[in-house]
Amino acid sequence: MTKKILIATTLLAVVVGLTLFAGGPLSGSWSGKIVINPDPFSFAEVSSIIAVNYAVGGFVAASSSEFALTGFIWQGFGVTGTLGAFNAQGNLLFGASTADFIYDQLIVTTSIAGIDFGFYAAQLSDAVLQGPADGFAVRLAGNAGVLDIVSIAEFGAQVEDAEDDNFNGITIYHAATGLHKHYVTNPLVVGQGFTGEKVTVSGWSFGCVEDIATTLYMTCHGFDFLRFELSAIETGIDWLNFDVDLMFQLQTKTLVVTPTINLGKSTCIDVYAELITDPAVMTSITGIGIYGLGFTTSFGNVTVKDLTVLNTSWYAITTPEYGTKIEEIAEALKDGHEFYPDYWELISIEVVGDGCCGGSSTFLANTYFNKNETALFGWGMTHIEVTIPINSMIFLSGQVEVDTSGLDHIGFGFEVGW
Amino acid sequence: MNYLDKGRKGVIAVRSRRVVVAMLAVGLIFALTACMGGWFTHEQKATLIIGQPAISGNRGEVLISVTNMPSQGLASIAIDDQGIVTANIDPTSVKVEGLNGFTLLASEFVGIYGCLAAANPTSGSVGGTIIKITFEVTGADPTFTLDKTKVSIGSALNTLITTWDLNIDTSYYAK
Repeated sequence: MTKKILIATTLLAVVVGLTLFAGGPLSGSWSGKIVINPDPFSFAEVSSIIAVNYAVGGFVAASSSEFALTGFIWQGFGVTGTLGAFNAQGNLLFGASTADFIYDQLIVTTSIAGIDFGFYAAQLSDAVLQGPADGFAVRLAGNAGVLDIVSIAEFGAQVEDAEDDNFNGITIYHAATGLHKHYVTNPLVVGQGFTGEKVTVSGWSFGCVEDIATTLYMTCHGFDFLRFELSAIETGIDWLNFDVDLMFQLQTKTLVVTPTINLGKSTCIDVYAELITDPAVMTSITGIGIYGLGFTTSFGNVTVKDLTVLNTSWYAITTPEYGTKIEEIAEALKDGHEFYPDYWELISIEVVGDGCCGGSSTFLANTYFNKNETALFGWGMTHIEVTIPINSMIFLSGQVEVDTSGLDHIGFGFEVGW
Repeated sequence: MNYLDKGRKGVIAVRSRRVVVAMLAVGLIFALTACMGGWFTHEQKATLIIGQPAISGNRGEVLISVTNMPSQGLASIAIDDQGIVTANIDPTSVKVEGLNGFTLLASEFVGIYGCLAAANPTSGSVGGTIIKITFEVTGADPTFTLDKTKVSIGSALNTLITTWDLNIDTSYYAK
């Protein structure tokens, strides 16, 4: 018992002592979380992330260690900084449980005479199913009048493009736990010969079209695709616009017309609506579907929120970690957002208050309703989260989820900054 | 000082040009070969991945994941009777859960064998986790394997995906 008290006291002293580093070149955080399923008793989640940052000469070096129930999963190192006109970022990832090098990335950017230059290089080890691979890409971006021009020359690697689903960067998964890491430079091949060139010209608008973007992508095999995207084409009806996406590939031509509805800014209740089109004739608008309603109001430190999903086949409420909002299920899956597929309504109360010793405390209670439940009012589940500051650098947290079958899980967490 | 006569200089110049031309030719061949992707590009095969069992105490968990799935991604999976073979796992304790939009349609575990079916009604998964199986461990080194011949996978375009690999030993994969 004495030994346990001694260890606990030492740990507390170390944790509090680390906060004294605040303001120095060494900073960082340590966060941990344990989630327990009571019946049958099991650990649903055990995680610990330690991040250490060291700032010197305009550069910040960082180390991140990530643990899960099965052990030490990821060890990452990073460096970001500025050297003269150059901004640099480096990342290095190791698989700790197998003692493998996994991935590295170097990004150097600068801007000269209005032209942005970017150099992206990455390597993927053969410990990953799709490896080994390495490569680099050179990105040039600038303006010519009103036009924005971006050119990416690929030498075995692709760079993530938030506007294009075909260029998603790389996400590396740990197969046993599903934990993953995401990076913007995706190495595709071994060797660094020329593999592709992508040129995008956007910013061109005229009259009734807000933006016209053109993308040409050539690979080693020759022409890959040419795409024209016309956004927010006005129809003469205030609330109705449409987008056109025309893509030419070597043997195919694809035209997608997407009508969009603009209901304007709500002053009271948010209405989530979509235009319904005939799947057989995509330009035939058959109706307007209201798939959700939302309401948020604040008084003092208290925020009350209500979300209602009227079409649970295609839409869902995301978990608190992903913003508690109504999102299309297909989009949520594509973006890796977690959501509740079974609940159609949420009532949420959030209270943010001043902590006793710095920082702020939060209390969140989300209650969800399920159409298929026979409990009072169709109650399905209640999720409660509490965060309490010990001082401005140390936070404790707890969460409980109770559903119709009883206590689903209970969790505890902490975060220490220094 | 110049110790070479004009004839000797000419020979060296011609040899230098030939070396440069040869180097350029070799470089061009390498560049073109690299560009064609014939030697260097890795084939990105559709793969169904069975993760290593993650054990904590007497509880275990196995994740089924996919990567490089074609035709807008995998949207359905059916593992026939005896398609799953286990060892040192209590079959009565097995729970199967769909992940990332997948819904479990049916599952059964008896003895050392199991089967299941799951589908995603809204979209396909090109890469990522799709099914989580939890169980109680009854002995050391529990194992969880699939018989590929008893597994059928379908795409979001409602077509059968026929060309794919089964991987049970990788620790990492990418999307």
